[in-house]
Amino acid sequence: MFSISRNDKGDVVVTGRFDASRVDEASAVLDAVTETCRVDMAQLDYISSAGLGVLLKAQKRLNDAGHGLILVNTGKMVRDVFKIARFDLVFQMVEDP
Amino acid sequence: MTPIAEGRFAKSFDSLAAVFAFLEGAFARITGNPEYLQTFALAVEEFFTNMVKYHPEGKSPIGVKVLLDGTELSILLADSGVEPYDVTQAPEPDLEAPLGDRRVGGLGIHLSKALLDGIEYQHRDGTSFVTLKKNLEPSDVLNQQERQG
Repeated sequence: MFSISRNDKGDVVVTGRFDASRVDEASAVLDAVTETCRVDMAQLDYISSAGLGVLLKAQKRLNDAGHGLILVNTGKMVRDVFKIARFDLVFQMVEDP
Repeated sequence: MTPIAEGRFAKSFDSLAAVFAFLEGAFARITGNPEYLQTFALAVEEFFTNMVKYHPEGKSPIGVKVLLDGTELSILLADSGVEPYDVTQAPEPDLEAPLGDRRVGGLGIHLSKALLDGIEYQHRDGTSFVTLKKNLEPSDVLNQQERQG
């Protein structure tokens, strides 16, 4: 299962499996982000290059306006994928207990 | 070699959930280590979606076969009615480029190559075959009794 939404603090919360069939759903939420925003990934189990593409598009748009996504509490699989893709160079990734 | 599991899936992104469920069932009979499922699920998605996106000329379902030979796990994808194109030879993405120059093209193949031990491409009689391979740790492979239990 996959879900993506904004919580009451304005953070994006993404959970489950972010695969190529979820691009439109995820883009709809991320396209509405206009300022620096935390993305809670604690419950995101899986991401493919399609998911990376959605995040990259949002990051480029926000960066052009002086903002950016802050990826919070990525799990092992997602963190490994980010490292292999060297997305850790273009996203701020933080652990927040 | 007898396949552990074999399936055919409509050539559509909407098939991904069914493909993952199929892999989950097959891997439950192979290993108790969930990291292999994640690794292969990612590689299968990357090549499956490439077939959907770049080879619409083939309308047949995509075949997915899971094979285990000792500790070598292979997944064979078969896309019929398509022109040959060896996607494994696609150019590597520039992973050091600044944000503005980053592209997603080629990233899926790069991820798959990094996570697996081998990827092979063949084209025979109008069908493209992609074989994804990884050697499992012997202690991660379920024995016959565990597989049946």
